[in-house]
Amino acid sequence: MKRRGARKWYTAPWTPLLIVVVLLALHYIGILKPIESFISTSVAPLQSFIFTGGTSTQKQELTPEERVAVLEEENRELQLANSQLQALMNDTGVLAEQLSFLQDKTYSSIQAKVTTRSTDQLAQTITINAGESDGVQEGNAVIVNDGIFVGIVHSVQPNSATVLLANSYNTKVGATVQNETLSPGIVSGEFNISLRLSFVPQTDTLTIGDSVITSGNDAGIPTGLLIGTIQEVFQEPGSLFQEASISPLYSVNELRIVSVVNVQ
Amino acid sequence: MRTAFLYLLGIILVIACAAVQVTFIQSYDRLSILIHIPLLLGVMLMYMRLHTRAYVVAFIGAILFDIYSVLPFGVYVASVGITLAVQAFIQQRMLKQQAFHAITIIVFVTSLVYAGTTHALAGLVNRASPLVLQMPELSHVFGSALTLSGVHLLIIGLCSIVLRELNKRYSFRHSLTI
Repeated sequence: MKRRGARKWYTAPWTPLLIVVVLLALHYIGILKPIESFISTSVAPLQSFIFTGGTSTQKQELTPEERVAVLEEENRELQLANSQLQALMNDTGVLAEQLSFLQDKTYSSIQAKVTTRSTDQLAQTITINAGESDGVQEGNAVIVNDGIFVGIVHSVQPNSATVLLANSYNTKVGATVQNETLSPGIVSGEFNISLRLSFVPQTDTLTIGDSVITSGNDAGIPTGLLIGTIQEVFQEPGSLFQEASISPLYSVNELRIVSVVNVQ
Repeated sequence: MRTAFLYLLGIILVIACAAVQVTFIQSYDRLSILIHIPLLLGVMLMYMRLHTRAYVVAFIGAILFDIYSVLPFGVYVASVGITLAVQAFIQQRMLKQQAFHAITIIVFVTSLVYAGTTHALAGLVNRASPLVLQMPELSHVFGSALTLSGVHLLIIGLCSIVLRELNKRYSFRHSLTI
């Protein structure tokens, strides 16, 4: 006989935990993927609407012709940056192998709109409306304007991708300072706000205002993308390396359209 | 037909709430530590003994958070699950009555549990994965958890006053008794 006033199973404290286990199992098996895709796809227009501050989404959609025009413009600017880098390397004669590497390579890029920013305080991210179906891959570099490095593609969904911004805690990129010695270093995010260049040999001279570019040592990130300029240099006596604070050349709040660079 | 329409409307509203949280509120660091709409709605619904609706609201929000997060899938879903489990335990074993102090305690505790669990799980994931997150300091975690709890408490307080006044004036048949 059924006990009167007996609690229903779904009111029990263990029910939410059971739901968690089921959801995690379904996700990692892959059954939940269509539902996740449906949710993220159905939310995308709303996200875009909210993110652009209520402006019409139609107004910001690029026609195929416009996309091609923007793409060509981005390519032209990238080629210009590459040629400048190649000239610099010719002058110094230090990185001849990188020069030949650059000559052999061509870049293609994918235009995307930023639909949202961070979902947590642990990392600075943006979500873009281009994904696996557009050819975006994990580890691809993301740029704005004339080749300014913005971040790295962290995860890819069918129609969207999450980009870790350069100033995020956990972003680390191989970099080169455009000084006389072309000092190598690693750029990482600092307090989710600025950038820090570390592991630069003490013997090298860093000057405030020097440009810092990507070194091309990371898979998916081409050489010569502009990361920022040196703002402050930190040297500790007795240390093998010196550090520098870098000011990024982009503003997170102004990111609207970005390009994902594909190194082919 | 009417029921189906209401369910559809409910799902659209839930997704819209989660989208507002993920897109608008999370875009602003300071705002994101003040309010968590899907969690608050989930806790409220569970307090009103609408368990299934609470699960739908809270878990859809958590899934959306996990989709757009750099953390591995499951951190937010697990945090929400643990939070709702704690709430169910408190409601069944400790605060069985639907009084004002009960909802305030529940909202305060669940907000603390959610913030704490999220950071704890992120820390665990950080140790296990090559993501190498630089975790915020413990004082910052406590600060944001207390802020979230305080603001949620304030919202619940205001809602309860408004609902009480509405109950007095219009004497709803199904009183929400917050």
